[in-house]
Amino acid sequence: MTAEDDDLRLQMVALLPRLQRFARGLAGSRDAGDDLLQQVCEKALSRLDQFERGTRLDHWLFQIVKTTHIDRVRQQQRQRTADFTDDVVALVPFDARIEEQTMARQELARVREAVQELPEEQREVLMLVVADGLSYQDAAEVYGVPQGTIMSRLARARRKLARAIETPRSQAAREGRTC
Amino acid sequence: MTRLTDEQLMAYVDGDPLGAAPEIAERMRAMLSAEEQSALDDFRRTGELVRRAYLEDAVEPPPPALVALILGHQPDAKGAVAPPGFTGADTLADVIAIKPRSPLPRSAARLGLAMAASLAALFAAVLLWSMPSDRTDIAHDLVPGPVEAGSALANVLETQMSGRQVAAGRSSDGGDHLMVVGTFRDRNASICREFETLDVDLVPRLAAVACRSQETGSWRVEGMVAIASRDDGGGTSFAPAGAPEQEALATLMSLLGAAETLKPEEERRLIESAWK
Repeated sequence: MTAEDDDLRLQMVALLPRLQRFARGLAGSRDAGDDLLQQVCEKALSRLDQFERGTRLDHWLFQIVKTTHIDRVRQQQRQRTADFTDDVVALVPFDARIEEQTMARQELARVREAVQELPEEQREVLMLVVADGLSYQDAAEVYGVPQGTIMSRLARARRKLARAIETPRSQAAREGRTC
Repeated sequence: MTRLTDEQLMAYVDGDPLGAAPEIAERMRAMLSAEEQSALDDFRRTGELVRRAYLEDAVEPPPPALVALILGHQPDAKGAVAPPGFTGADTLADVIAIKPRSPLPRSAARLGLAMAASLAALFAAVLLWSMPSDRTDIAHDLVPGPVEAGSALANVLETQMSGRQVAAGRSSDGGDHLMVVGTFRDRNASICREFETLDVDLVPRLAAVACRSQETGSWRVEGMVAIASRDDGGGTSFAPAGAPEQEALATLMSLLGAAETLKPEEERRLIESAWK
């Protein structure tokens, strides 16, 4: 292992909390997120020589999280045998640990639920920009799309999220609203 | 008058350079339409809620096994992993292996406190850099270290439940607010409270953690980080709670050995019994 590799690995460790948060946000639960992160780390380590020195390591790793997550979702979709409704429930797991906590915690759990109900591309941008604090420009670089696209997805996500949080779940159910 | 787009309003709230455009600043000084105000509120609220909803993921230390995988080292008996080339009694490995609610070796605890002190100094530097010098509000007065007994901050920390916004500032523009975000115990079972200062628009500007001495009952700010700033250049700009700030706060809480947030009923009981 070269000194340069050692340095990269240390940087990866320092980035783990951010990667963990992003992975959990995409995967929808702690366990699934941690599984995803494990896979991401293995993939990144096997491709460490492909990382271009002088570029942003966090961007590179976020891209790997994103693509690995997409691969896993596609794989899950291929494996579906049960009826669709059950699968949707399975893809939007609820963290029981949060449910047991305080009222304040319950509100945050409701936020997480609502985030999970957002369309994939909106949820990804929301996690990167709002939860992780990436700038619009940085998020655009991670996704390889124009900054305006990022802003448009993010604005739609947040307006939708605001409505979802304010709408009582029972009312949403009556209206048949999904997100 | 043309309505500001959602993207413009969001960029303003998030502190993105696009949100500092002259036409946006001009509209902000004027009256926003109800529709614009509603969008602005949505962006502020969702930004705050999403950050809080996912903040705890950053507080939790990464699994030692994953750290070991990346560093190519095996964890030791304590589950700690030393980075390559790192030696010494107070190893970074001990810090990496910190788990909330688990007693730490004395050496690691000492290192944690030392690092917390360093972080506090760093936070203070960030604060001084970001705050205009003529501010006299509570955010400007806030520094790491002992909290003056009888001060607004001490009173809020001592008596207020989490989630309540309490007017506490002395600014001519209406004053700041304080809000306790959550209460937890550190690794020594001392009570600590994460709190925020909110500006006149109730926008969070500082996030901080203060802990209460079990012996003296006094509060001490262990660290803080600026999550928003306002310039004096005629316009208004907000800095979002970006990754470095969130990570710094999360690191501080990890170093303090923050246990889970107390439930409201326990928090209320402790307040009513003067934290006994």
